[in-house]
Amino acid sequence: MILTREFKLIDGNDRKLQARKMRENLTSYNMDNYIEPSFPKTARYRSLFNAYYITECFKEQTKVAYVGEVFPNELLFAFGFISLNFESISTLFSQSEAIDMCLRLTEENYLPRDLCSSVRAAYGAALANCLPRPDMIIINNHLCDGLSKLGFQFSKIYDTVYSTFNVPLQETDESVAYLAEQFQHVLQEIEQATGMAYDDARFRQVIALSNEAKDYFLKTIDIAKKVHIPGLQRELYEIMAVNCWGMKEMVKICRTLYDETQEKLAAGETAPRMKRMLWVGLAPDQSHEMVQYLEHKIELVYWTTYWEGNLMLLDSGQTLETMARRSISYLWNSVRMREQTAYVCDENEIDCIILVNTWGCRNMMGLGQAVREMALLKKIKFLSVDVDIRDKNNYSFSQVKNRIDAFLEIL
Amino acid sequence: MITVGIDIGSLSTKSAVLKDKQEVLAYDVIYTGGNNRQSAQTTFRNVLDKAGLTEDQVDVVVTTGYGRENVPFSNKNFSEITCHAKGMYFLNPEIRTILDIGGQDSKAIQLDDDGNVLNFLMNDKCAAGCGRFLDIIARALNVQLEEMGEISLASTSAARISSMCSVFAETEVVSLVAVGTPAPDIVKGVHDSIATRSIALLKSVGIREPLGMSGGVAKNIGIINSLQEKLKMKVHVTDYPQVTGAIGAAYLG
Ligand code: SF4
Repeated sequence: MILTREFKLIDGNDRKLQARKMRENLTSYNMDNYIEPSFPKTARYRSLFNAYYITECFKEQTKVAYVGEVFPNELLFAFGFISLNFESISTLFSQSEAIDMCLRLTEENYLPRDLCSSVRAAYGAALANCLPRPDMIIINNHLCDGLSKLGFQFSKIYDTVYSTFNVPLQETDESVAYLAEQFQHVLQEIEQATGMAYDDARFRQVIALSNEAKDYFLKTIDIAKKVHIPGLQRELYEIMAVNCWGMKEMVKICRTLYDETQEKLAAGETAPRMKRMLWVGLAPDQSHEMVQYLEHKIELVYWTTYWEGNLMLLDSGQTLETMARRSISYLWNSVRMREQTAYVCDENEIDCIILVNTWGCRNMMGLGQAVREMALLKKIKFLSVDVDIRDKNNYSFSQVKNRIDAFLEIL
Repeated sequence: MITVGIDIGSLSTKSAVLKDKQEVLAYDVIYTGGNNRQSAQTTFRNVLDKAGLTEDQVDVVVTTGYGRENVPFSNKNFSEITCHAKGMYFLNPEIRTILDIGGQDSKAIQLDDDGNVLNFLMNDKCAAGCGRFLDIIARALNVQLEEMGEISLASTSAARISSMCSVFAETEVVSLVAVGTPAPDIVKGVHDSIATRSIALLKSVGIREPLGMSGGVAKNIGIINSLQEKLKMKVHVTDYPQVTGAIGAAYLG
């Protein structure tokens, strides 16, 4: 038994204990496939920042919120919160042998195996009691119902405040206003939960930092679109995965990447143009066998990096509205998917697309069809593979490799 | 010029010898077993014996199939998709869509006018719909795998096999036997179920006629009939369905 009948953790809800358990479980971190970073300064700042972030989460006085992917973290940073999202927790564990333990715990605790492994891995990590106790959980109930239920379950386990908001699928003036209003409400809930007052000056500062970091990021993206600098697409993706827009460290990371890219350009450290493959869907860490195999043969461009919802700057006059627009445009709907993927393909001169289906992900609904249709129209070669980057029971590299080989031969 | 193609599949290893990329001199099929290097070596020797050739007379060896990278004497290797496409193009250049049902996977491949692959889809996750499925059912019914096509021709009313999983389908077949369903009706039901799965794969990739079938399962007349009935189109089978991939590999040599 891990939970009591009231869904409380049997061995206690204490950050010191949770930090110890995290250390114990992550000792088996997989370094076999370690890759020398192509942008050493950026990679170093990024790793240091990640380490600092995780360490801070376990301190008693730190305010921690668990959020879904589309929540504007800037709102939390303005209150001095640290935010963790469920997908990142799952990704962190998937780089370690501890992932098997997390998934096993969920099965032993009656979670069905056909749920996506993002949800299962994060839930398993909570069951192992190695996550920092959250002070708040803020999650959207649409489009991913799995995540919103996971958030609710977490709120029971950790006996904490649960705040939810609804992200409309379509972007209209009404839907933007509706979501902005909900963000306003979330701000009030944060105030109530923490006893802290909203500080507008601090908020403006966070927005300025978010935009400053994005600005460097966008300038680097412009270079990446035009030239092939080995490792750049991956580094852009890694930064996107950090997802701490609004923190000052993010500005430093993005500026460093921009500077390093400029240095490489000046030194002529570009590589001949390879065929470009757009990776659509959830991507694993760089040590994953599939990423390593592909990166030797092709230039991988990650769709997440170029997704409009990830690149929007915030309008300081209408901040909540632009945040709402950003959150709505982040959601995968088939029409948006087709249009945006087409745009990314044109901008990056994409030669082929690999659609990576995640086992059990309801969000993939409509996605495959939409991207495939677009690829057919544009005469871009398209491959769809089923990959589970967390649950090894749902994926076999030899099968996927077989398809990839055949696909590369027809390019 | 003598080229040899070796196709190392999950169940069987096939080889073929081509002369000047124009004539099939010999072919060979053996069980893969647990050592695919060994089976590649064995079929290589067998096929050369059948063709009356020695190793020295071989210019190029090309391997394909799951074990393609594991053969020390291979000069190059290609995926089964490319090899099946080329093999079919060599055997019947008219074909524009291929359905290949092998031991443990099935593929639908669309070709252009030069035998190049335009698009493909594979089912390699589930044995239902593949040769292995027929194997399991033959054992459950206590009939020979090779006889299943003929047996199904005597069916008057195909049984409905609802399960999509070969393990559960076996249970279903055992239940049908227990209630006295005639074997031909069960076998026909199994063929229909494989045909239904294959058609879904074909339709996803898009069917351009003429449609050809390769792989060992193409030798089963019952499957061909089920496919033709459901698709309402002719399914072309070449003289060497099981060795299409090996012939394609030799052709690429
Ligand atoms: S269902 Fe899809 S979107 Fe939701 S958590 Fe799982 S992988 Fe993420």
